[in-house]
Amino acid sequence: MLMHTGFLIHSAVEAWARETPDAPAMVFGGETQTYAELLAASQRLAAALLENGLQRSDRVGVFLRKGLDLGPAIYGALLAGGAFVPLDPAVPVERLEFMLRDGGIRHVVTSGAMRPTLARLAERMGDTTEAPILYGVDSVDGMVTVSSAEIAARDARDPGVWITDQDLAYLMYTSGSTGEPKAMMHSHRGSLSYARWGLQHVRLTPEDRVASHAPLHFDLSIFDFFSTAQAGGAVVLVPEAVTKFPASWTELVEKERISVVFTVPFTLIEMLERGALDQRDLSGLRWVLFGGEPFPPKHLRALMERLPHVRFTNVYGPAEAPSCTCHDVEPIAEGDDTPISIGTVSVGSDDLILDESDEPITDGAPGELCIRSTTLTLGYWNRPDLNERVFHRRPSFGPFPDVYFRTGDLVQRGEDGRLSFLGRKDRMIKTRGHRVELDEVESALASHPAVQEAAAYTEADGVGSRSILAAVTLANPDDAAITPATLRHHARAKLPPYAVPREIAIVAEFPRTTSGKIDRRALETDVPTP
Amino acid sequence: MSLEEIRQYIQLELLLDETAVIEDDEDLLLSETLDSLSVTRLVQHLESTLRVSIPPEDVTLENFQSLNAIHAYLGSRE
Repeated sequence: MLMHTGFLIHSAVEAWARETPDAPAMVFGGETQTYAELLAASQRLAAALLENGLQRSDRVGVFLRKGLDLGPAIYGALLAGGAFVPLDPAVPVERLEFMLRDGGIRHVVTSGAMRPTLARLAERMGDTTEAPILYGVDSVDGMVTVSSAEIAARDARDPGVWITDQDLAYLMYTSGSTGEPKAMMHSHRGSLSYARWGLQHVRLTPEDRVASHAPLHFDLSIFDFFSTAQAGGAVVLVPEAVTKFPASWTELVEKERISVVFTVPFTLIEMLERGALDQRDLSGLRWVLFGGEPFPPKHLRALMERLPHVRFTNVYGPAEAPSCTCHDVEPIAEGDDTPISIGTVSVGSDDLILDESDEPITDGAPGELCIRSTTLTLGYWNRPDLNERVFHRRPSFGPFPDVYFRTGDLVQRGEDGRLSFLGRKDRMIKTRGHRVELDEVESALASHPAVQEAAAYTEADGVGSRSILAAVTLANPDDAAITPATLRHHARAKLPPYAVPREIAIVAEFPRTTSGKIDRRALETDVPTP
Repeated sequence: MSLEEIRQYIQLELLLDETAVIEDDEDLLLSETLDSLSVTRLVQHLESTLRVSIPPEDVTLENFQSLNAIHAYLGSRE
């Protein structure tokens, strides 16, 4: 059968499996998966997916922690003509169920390690027509399963599925302001455009060993997996637990000779402060990319001094339009506190800064950054209302889509043409690189029957990021059964771990603005970042 | 410091949930009981309570994976 090759995101793995079959593709816990092994395992999974009825563009959930089963899950879904959907392994089961139903996800690749959550999922969805088929796990009561042994028994060969580069490659869920997560759709063409940007900017080669530090549901992972595959390099999968210990993480960078890292400033600041850098030989590291949040110049300067042989690039771009601008950081002078620029638009992207009446700004005044890019999302899954709101149509000449994505980010263009990030237009915040809509946190707290009203706000955490805090009023103010601990417990069942407020205060009443709204600014006790 | 004291500190100060069940050999990272911020707070607490200095190179997954591991590490520092 025919296959529209060359423009598909997984074609690189097929090509390297032929050119350099024994080269390392994935590395985890001291074990290596070669390109030939990765392709064979992916083809076997693709065969199992197709036998179980997977159709073109069907969504395949990837519910796995870091491990050597991750690559085959992603590429197996793609080879079968499906789109993969990263599902955060730490997500509460209620949220997992929402994503499965919302995404119409009927196939989920998982493993025995996820059994506790899968058992709770089976209690909620088992024996219903919407329950997904689980791959990579032995029997789970109430669910149809295809075990690893059954997958391994399939033939490893090209499934010969016809798709084009306009087809869906992945859905990525993120925080939604309505209290439910929302998913953005990315095509093969868009993902490939992002992957090629990474390949070219960092000049990746087959010798590179790129860390996969971010979780799969974080869009930095698209660079880690797909830019590396374009180059025929190795992805070094960093166990989730290691990411929480800066000294273990830097030890892994040294031991695995990691050459390229793309992460959030928070991780790099921790590495600087608690990574025992004076005892590590990081001479193999050559390029650090960071994004997701502003990097405090003082900390970046200190890190650059510790790692003088490493290049640093600030990458800006919401997950809807990844890597649309970037800036290679030059040495920072002592005492220079100028925020790190987000740079200029990358090749394949074009920007427009709009004022409040949607007119382009040309005189250097601040405005909302709007982006059109070859990496642009196809829009939000099942959310025409949101698409209407965040895309700005402006027909024009040139090799771009004729829609701009409204980033919601306020920027200003300097005289040198570079953009500075000034803040957000809405209530989306970043906490250690994760996007969180504060409205979603408030919805989760307000869904507790004893809560009257909830307000979420943030404070600087001292290492360049922000922590989430919340306050609530109770329907019955004398309800002694409700404590901050019960509310936190409730929030933990609704929200991903990073979105659970660090502290929840029960207050008698909220400060109000003159219009009667909760005065969240008054709740914030903002301490400037040191 | 006893295992029980470490457990209580995690329950009361880090999770703010005294009813949270933490087994002695439970993987605190996989169960999302600890994150990087709470590891830092735990280390500071141990340093100030026990009047020891815990060097960054000792704050590793091996030494902090479970209550048992933390307890054993602290024992090795006595």
